[in-house]
Amino acid sequence: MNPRSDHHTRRHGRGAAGLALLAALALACTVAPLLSDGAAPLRADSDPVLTALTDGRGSLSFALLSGLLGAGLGLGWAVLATALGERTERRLMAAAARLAGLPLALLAPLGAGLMGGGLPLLALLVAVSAAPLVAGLAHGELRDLLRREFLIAARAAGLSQGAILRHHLIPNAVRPLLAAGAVALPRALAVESFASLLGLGLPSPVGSWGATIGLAARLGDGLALIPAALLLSLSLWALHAVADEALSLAAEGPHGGAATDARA
Amino acid sequence: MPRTVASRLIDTLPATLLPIAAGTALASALAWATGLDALGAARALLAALGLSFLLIAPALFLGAALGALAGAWAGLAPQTGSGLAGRALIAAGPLLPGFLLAACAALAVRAGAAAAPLAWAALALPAACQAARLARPAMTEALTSDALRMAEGFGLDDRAVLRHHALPAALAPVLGGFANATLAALAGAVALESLLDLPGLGARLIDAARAGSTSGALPALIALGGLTGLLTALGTALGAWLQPLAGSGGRGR
Repeated sequence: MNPRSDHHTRRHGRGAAGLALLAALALACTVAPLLSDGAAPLRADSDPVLTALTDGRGSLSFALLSGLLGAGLGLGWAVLATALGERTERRLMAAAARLAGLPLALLAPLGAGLMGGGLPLLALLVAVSAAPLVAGLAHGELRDLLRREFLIAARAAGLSQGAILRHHLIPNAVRPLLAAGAVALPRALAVESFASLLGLGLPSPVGSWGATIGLAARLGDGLALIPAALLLSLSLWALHAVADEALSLAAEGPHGGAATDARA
Repeated sequence: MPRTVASRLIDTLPATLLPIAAGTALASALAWATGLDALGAARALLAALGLSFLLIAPALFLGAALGALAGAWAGLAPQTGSGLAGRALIAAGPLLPGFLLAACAALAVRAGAAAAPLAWAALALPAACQAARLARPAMTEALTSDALRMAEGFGLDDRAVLRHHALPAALAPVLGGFANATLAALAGAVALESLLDLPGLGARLIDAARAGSTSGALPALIALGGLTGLLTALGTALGAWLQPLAGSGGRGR
């Protein structure tokens, strides 16, 4: 096996491991309340591992919700920029690049504190903090796709714009755009955990790893901090591994080699 | 300081100092409007900014430099001690967000550990992980590049080829990704200041947000934006200065 294919195999192995780990974490967090002896609401008396697993339901489901929202915003941004002509495209993408260089992670705790919190607002703020990054990646993928030979050949063959869009552009754009959108998930989990750690994230009835870690760090309670920190770390690793693999698969193209037309 | 660094800083610093000045002016104006000491408010904001700078800058620059070297070494000799350290940093990157390390550091400080070294280590580690992740593939690519083979063909010894050709190529992407490392360090610093009740800009921002005070949060947010730009500009200028230093000996040979 040559070093390049070895590297690809390892990366694909990491992606599969990340997916398996995420499935295991989701399952464990779902069944955790069934293992509880009813002490979960009395946090001081409860088992820290079970508490961390129960908190995982809030963190993971919120990350999924706000990550999908952020991915949608970012993808919409990139598609809009590509569709609206060169001048608007330059402006929109320059704005995305500038925003990505700002500490947008601070928006979530700041907005939650100043505007009174609430899940929809927090989800929107977390999504906004992930959107410029997704927009940049998705725009790069779209530009790359639009330069491919098969599109030039389709135009030269006299196909209408609608036919090109339906038969060539959309089928080939789905995978890279989904891969770019996947980057929003770890970002959403990290931003929510950061805001909850500061006490300005998910409201207290909804458990969160960040809130547990923040409270444990303030109280000096290492036993409560370790399980939540470990589960958060593992989830972030798994989400990053899946997103990296998705991006790597998108770069390889539909047939595993250099990107080619799926319908060729 | 070489002229290139000075000119780079002259180009970028005004744009980064402007938000800091605007934040300070806003804090001062808001204090004056509410009948408080305007000069005192401006001084307090600048003092908080100074503390945040002292907390982040050494950790960020040192972490990025050490991470870049470890990552480059992981590309050059993955089985050596430094190479293994580089690989460990690359693997640990996604596991260790800055705010989580800040919480662990805060816990250790509450248990009696020394605050400053732990705080700097917690902020340096994410920067080191990111630098290592960027430097390793760049070093691997540089080692197989035509420029390197040509330098070897001209009879340069391995050490000179490594120092003057491969290393600058490995450091270049670290400079490109320095803004992300700055953002990660900033989030870590905000968490650390808030958890340890340090009087920095991040704690000021979060305290104002908790109190629902827009007039308290806005100047701190604007100044934090300026601090991010300032740290990125300083890091990029410093890296751009180090790169030609590494490459300069090769030109003279």
